[in-house]
Amino acid sequence: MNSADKVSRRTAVGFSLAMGIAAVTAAIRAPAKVDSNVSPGLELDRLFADRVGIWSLDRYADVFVRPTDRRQKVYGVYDQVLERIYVGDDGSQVMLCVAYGGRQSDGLHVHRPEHCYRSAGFEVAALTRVAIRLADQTVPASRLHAHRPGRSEPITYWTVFGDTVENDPRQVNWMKLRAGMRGEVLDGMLVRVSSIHNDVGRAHQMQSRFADALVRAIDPGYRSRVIGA
Amino acid sequence: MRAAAYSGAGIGEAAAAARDPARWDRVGVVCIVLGLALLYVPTYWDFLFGFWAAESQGHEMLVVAVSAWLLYRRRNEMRDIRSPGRPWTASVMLACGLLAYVVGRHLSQLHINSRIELSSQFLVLLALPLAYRGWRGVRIVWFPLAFLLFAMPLPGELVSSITMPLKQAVSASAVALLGLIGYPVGRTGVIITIGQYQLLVAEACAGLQTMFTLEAVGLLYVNLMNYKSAWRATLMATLAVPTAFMANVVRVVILILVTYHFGDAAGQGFVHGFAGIVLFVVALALLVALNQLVGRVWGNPR
Repeated sequence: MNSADKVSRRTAVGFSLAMGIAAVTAAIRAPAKVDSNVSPGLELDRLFADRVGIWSLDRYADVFVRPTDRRQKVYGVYDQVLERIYVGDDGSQVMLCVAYGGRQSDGLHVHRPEHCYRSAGFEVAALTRVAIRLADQTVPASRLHAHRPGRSEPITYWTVFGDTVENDPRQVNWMKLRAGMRGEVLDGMLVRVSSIHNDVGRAHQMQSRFADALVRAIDPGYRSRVIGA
Repeated sequence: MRAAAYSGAGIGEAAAAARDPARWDRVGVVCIVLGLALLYVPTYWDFLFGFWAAESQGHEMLVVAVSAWLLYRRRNEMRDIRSPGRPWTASVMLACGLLAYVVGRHLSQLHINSRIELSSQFLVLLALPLAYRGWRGVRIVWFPLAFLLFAMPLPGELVSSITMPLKQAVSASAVALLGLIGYPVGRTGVIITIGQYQLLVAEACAGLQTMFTLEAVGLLYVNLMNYKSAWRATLMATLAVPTAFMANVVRVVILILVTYHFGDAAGQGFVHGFAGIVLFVVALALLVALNQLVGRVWGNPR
């Protein structure tokens, strides 16, 4: 074995040692397994009232709507999903969908309405990020218009991670990474309000009024879970 | 065995080696392989069977095996080139890779992000040829390492932004084709109507993931053909894209026909049973046929 061989072997041994140390470090620093950090006492169908402002739960529609499921993950991501239809005293109909996940992993952004409506065959247009007032608090929300022949559905939605409302997917990713570096996992909620309407502008206005009434009806102690602190 | 290509016997000692042909230093090779296994067996295990299994596309192990085999094929080329190594640059790269590994593994175990951990393998693997043979060594193994990209999960946003127009185009072509030969077929967006049936063209990601897999097969084919002309190689690699597209059209056409003639259950059975295999056979057959055709025009089988 000549000297060049020795140098070569020394490099190999050095490199593999570094790899071994990294592997062992990662194994030792492995975070303790957390099954779920669902906020205690958070139950979507109790959190959201049956009557908000001029709107009340459509009892007949309830039959067709998937109930909150506490035993199994919904779509593999959420711990609880609430789907409801409200009817207003003025005859307006609003669909509410709330999804809550105790652990916000990588998969959630796929379930943003602009993506999931598209994959269900809708055209998605006019996605705008707006600030709306909910229970005297400014909340960054998103508005969009999903449509396909025979169905025009304006949508308003917002997402909460931990106690921060954030609607920019990049910022959300960054928030989750930063929390992860601290060893924390954020919980997250997506609140979606939509209605079948041809007049998109008026529908969005109505949805904002509904969302405001919806949030006002929530126990103040739990409001930060829905619109952030 | 993927690391076999990297750690080499010294090359500075040209004179001494004149009678003693260069060979791999077994101890070094074993060390490196062990190190890589310690790092990435847990990674791939978690990715394939743990929390992240839902993100995997099902062909990762195949991609890793093919990459390893491609590297192994180049071991002699790597051993024989005379090019100074860059151990210091390589050490920095390895350090970055290992840092990304430790941080990434932490994040993936918290179920937050799996890509950082998986990405670290590229830095770690690049550091090895760089240390022993410099950038020329890296050039020898660029394809096997790039091929490993197909084992990475696709970012969801990219998937949905590319998939939609692709799905539209695939279903439009399939419907136009069937309409041409007189089937009662119509389409709105990604919903296809045939007779009394309605079909939604695949779920959110299925379409694009098969496109990527097919592109991988195409690139592998081009690489193995070892074309003498770079233009020819580029042409064939580019042709792999429309080939994958055509294969998808064939898949949708078959799905529509099966549904129309044998009912919804048979159609769904096709989707979950044979559609994938049909896709691959058609794509590969098309690629081979295209290769023959281009070969004729080029006037040279390669």
